[in-house]
Amino acid sequence: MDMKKPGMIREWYLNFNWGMLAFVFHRISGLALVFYIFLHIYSIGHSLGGGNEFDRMMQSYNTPLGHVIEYFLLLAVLWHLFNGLRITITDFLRFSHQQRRLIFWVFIICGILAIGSLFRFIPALKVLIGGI
Amino acid sequence: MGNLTRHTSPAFNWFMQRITAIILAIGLLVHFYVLHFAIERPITFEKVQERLLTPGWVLFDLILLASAVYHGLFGLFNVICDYNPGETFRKIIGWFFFIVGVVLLIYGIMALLPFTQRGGV
Repeated sequence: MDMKKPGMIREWYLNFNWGMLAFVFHRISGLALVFYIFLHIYSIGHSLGGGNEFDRMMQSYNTPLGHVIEYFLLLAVLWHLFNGLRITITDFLRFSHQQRRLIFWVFIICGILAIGSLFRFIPALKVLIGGI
Repeated sequence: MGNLTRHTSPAFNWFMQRITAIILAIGLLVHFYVLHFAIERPITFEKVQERLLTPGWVLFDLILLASAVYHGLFGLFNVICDYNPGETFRKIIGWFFFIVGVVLLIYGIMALLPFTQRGGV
């Protein structure tokens, strides 16, 4: 018998469902966030060079492109956070029977917070919409 | 068949991943609020310092830092373990991540210090 498992990425679409979508989002956001921790600590580390050096570093992210990337960071955090809460609730509160329904709440909560934060994170969009 | 018993149970890692998840869930919502909603861009040394002159916020950031480093690196370790690496590789990666985590934590704490004293370091 061939015991070889399909590759993880192949498994994603061979066995696709809402739970798998939640898992794929969780994994991609998780990998992005662990990469971000390094970037974040590196950036904040500029404080060691003094206040001006820190301000210069922060200012370099304060561009329209920087704002868009920051917004994607927010999306990654929101998904990982609320889907992570779903997993924690399922594990600790014996929610296995209801966990599937919780996926839709994760989508709804993330959706509301993502839309609500859009203009705050990407102010350039306001100008764009105001210009129409 | 290989040896299926392990000297350390992964249950503790699972449990710590959940505990740090709860800390991060609450902490990151606060973190995003104080840095993206309570203050206006650009983020400056002075604005951050204003908050971090309060010891409670320093403690908050330290807990967030430690939880994020632990949760992130252990999460990455778990992702790698999903691909069934050999026991030796697992051990090497585990120790490597442990060292990386300690370095990140120390550098993170150092990066926080200038904010905690008036005038900076």
